[in-house]
Amino acid sequence: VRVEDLVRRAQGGDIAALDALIGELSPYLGRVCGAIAVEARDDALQETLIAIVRNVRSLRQPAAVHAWARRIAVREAIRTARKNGTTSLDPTLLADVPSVDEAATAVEVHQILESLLPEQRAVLVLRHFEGLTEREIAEALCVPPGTVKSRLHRARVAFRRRWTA
Amino acid sequence: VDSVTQLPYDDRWPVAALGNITRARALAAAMPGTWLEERVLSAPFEEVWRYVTDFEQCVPEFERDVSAIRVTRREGGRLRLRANASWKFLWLPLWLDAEVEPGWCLMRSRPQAYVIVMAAEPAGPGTTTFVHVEGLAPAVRRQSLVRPFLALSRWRHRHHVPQDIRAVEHRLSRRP
Repeated sequence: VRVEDLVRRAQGGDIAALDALIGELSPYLGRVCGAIAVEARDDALQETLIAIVRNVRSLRQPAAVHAWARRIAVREAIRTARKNGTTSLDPTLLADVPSVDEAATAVEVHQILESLLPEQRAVLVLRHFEGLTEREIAEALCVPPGTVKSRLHRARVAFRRRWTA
Repeated sequence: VDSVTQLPYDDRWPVAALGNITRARALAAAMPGTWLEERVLSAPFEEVWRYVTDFEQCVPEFERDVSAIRVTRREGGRLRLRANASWKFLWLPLWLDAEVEPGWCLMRSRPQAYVIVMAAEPAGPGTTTFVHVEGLAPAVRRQSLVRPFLALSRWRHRHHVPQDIRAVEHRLSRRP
């Protein structure tokens, strides 16, 4: 069954289709929530799915469900990460942290991500994992393109310092 | 800095996983006519799940609106059930489609008007997190048409669903 068909059936109130849609989208949304919300990732995924099922009827173009769901996931992951206070480090201080090489472990990767601000994690994920342009990221995050550019720059600097130092 | 290397998206990166409890909470958010109740039961997952998915023998023990259930078709995890309501509902018959997998059960009346979700995950040694969702969830495109019925259903199941879980707890505690 195509995901667009699941969306249409879910919009008509078919709960089994909605459940199948949740199962279809979750692996992808789980990666987005994981990279942005890190420790609060499971809460972020739950909030994302709740927002999706509550608003699926308002989705006008079922074929655009992935981009629509990703936008919700990014928003909820940032919000959840902020609420849980998973970030407090100033990225400009990152030069002083221990270096990490390509053989970094999962724990170290988590530490790198947690040292960034949620908004910085979001632009990194959208630019480098999802391949979005800066304009697309600006639309996904509802911020001006200039803000995306500056956040991306700071995130890259912070990330590279820790990833390749 | 602009030429930052492509970030490796591998298993070292944190990934949020969909559990059965989260799945039930999300689905319940789409059904304003249902009530969700969550409880940690003092019984191992396997025992809880075997009990709540024994439709013919055990479900009529804890579901007080049902007098009997018969499984009329079984294809792997897909079941078709024929339930008879209790005397309060004049023993009316109800046909249900169920999708069952370990820790997850979604039941819908045919045609979809009434939905029941049961979900479970091991909570700790000898304990299980159990979620029960139940109520009206008609498959209509415009929910505004049925909103008063949904509100009434939610109000009724606010009492009914916790009673069911208490009955499950009670029955499990009495089993050898």
